[in-house]
Amino acid sequence: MSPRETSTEEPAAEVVCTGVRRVFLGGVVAVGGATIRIEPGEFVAFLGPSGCGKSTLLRMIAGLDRPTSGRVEVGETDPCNRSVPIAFVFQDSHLLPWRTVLDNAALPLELLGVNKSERRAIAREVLRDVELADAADRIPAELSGGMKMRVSLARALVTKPRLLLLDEPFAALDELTRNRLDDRLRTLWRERGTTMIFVTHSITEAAYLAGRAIVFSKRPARIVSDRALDLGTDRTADLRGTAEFAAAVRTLQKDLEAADA
Amino acid sequence: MRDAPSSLANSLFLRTARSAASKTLPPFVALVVFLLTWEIGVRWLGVAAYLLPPPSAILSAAKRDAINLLMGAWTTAKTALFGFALSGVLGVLAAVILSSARVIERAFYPYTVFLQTVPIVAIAPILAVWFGPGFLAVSVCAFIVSVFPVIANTVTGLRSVDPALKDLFRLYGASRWASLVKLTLPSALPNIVTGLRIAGGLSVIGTLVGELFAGFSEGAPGLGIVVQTAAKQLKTDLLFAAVFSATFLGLLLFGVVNAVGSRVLGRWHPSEKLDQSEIES
Repeated sequence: MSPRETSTEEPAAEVVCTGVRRVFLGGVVAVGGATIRIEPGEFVAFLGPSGCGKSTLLRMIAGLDRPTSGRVEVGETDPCNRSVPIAFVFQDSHLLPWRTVLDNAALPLELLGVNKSERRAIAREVLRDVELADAADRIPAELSGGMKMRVSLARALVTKPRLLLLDEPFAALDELTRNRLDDRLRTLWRERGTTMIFVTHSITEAAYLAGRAIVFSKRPARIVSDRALDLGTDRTADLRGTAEFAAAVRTLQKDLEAADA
Repeated sequence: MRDAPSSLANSLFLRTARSAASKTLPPFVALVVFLLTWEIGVRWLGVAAYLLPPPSAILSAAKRDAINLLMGAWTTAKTALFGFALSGVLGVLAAVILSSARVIERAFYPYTVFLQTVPIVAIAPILAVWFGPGFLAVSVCAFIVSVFPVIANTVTGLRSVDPALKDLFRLYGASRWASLVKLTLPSALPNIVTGLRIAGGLSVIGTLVGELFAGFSEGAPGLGIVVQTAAKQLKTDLLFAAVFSATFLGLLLFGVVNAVGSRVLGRWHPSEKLDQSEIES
């Protein structure tokens, strides 16, 4: 079995970016020197204008892209080595349309070489966590947008990742579904203690979800502010109506305006 | 618009029957009108039978030479099918190799166009020299004529794989083989089916042309030879019967590819779900 599945005793990985720059072919600077330290089990939101390079930074943390200069470390290793299990949730669900929900959720385990009955059993369990146990044998074309996104979430969680990266995952959904999924994500985070980084351009979503928000400037992405959001761990829909929440949103709003200037 | 429950099933049946009829009736009527116009027109204008025989004459010629035509159709079908299979297998394989690396694609893809522009009439005699006239040479003709759309469509399909899914496979360290089998080929399947659909008809055309220049030899002469002989003997009615037989073969192959294709691709579509759950259990 690969080390990824045996490393479950440690639920969360730390993320350290040191002077990370990414210059694309043709000289466009996407990320201009980012230094961030994220502790194990933190829930961090990356906030910034669309196309500012925060997704590029997320891809580098996932080991899907390499920095031009500087260093990214996840759990004290290079994420490109894939020795720490990292999961990534994309902007859309990106499921395999020819597979059932169950086999979509089990895909990462399949690619890691887990045998069929074992990976299906694990996938069933994770589908229960996202309340899709009944839909296990359906195919993506039969699901609503919110359900597809939950399958995508289940697929990300199936390897018990120590770091979960989410790139504007719920942006295409209606607000009600989105709020529900935000709650689900908070619950999953609290139960599992995984380190999570959530990229979004929605200020309220960032404030509601994260324990810490890092605001990026427009391209090339630089860190404008890095704030802890002390809104408690027990967050419900009521939080959105409180004065603290409004204050946090206002602060982030100001940071973002400064970032876009 | 709601019927009472008792009549619901009945009206549903009627509606299905009606929609089936609305699809098949117009082309059928058009065909009948066309054949009647042809029959009456030819007779009325007194067109010579060796120029344009009426449909009734073609039909009786087909009856008279039924054995000839059937044996010919069988030879042609076998050959076309083999050429088509070669196109399917080698075409997809070529596309996979072409799209495995940018350098390979850049180096070789332009030359696959050669397959489409090669004058098959000129190359068929060479094939006859290489393979000896008969089945193999003609099959290769069918292959050359029909392989390009398979390659071109498959390459397009292989290229258009969702980049996010590619990232996902990379994230879990999937091997090239796993990515190909579990992601790239299934993603390209709709395009592969499109390519095969075009290749089906082309392989019959390639076989007919091949038979004219590299045919004869073992077994019954194929439809191409029947056409050629009928033309030389001015048996225009038999010529038409052979042409229609060949057309029918092409349509048949097209239909089979279509049916298999929608059966396979239907799995992705909610309407086919029932069949799928039956298979799985």
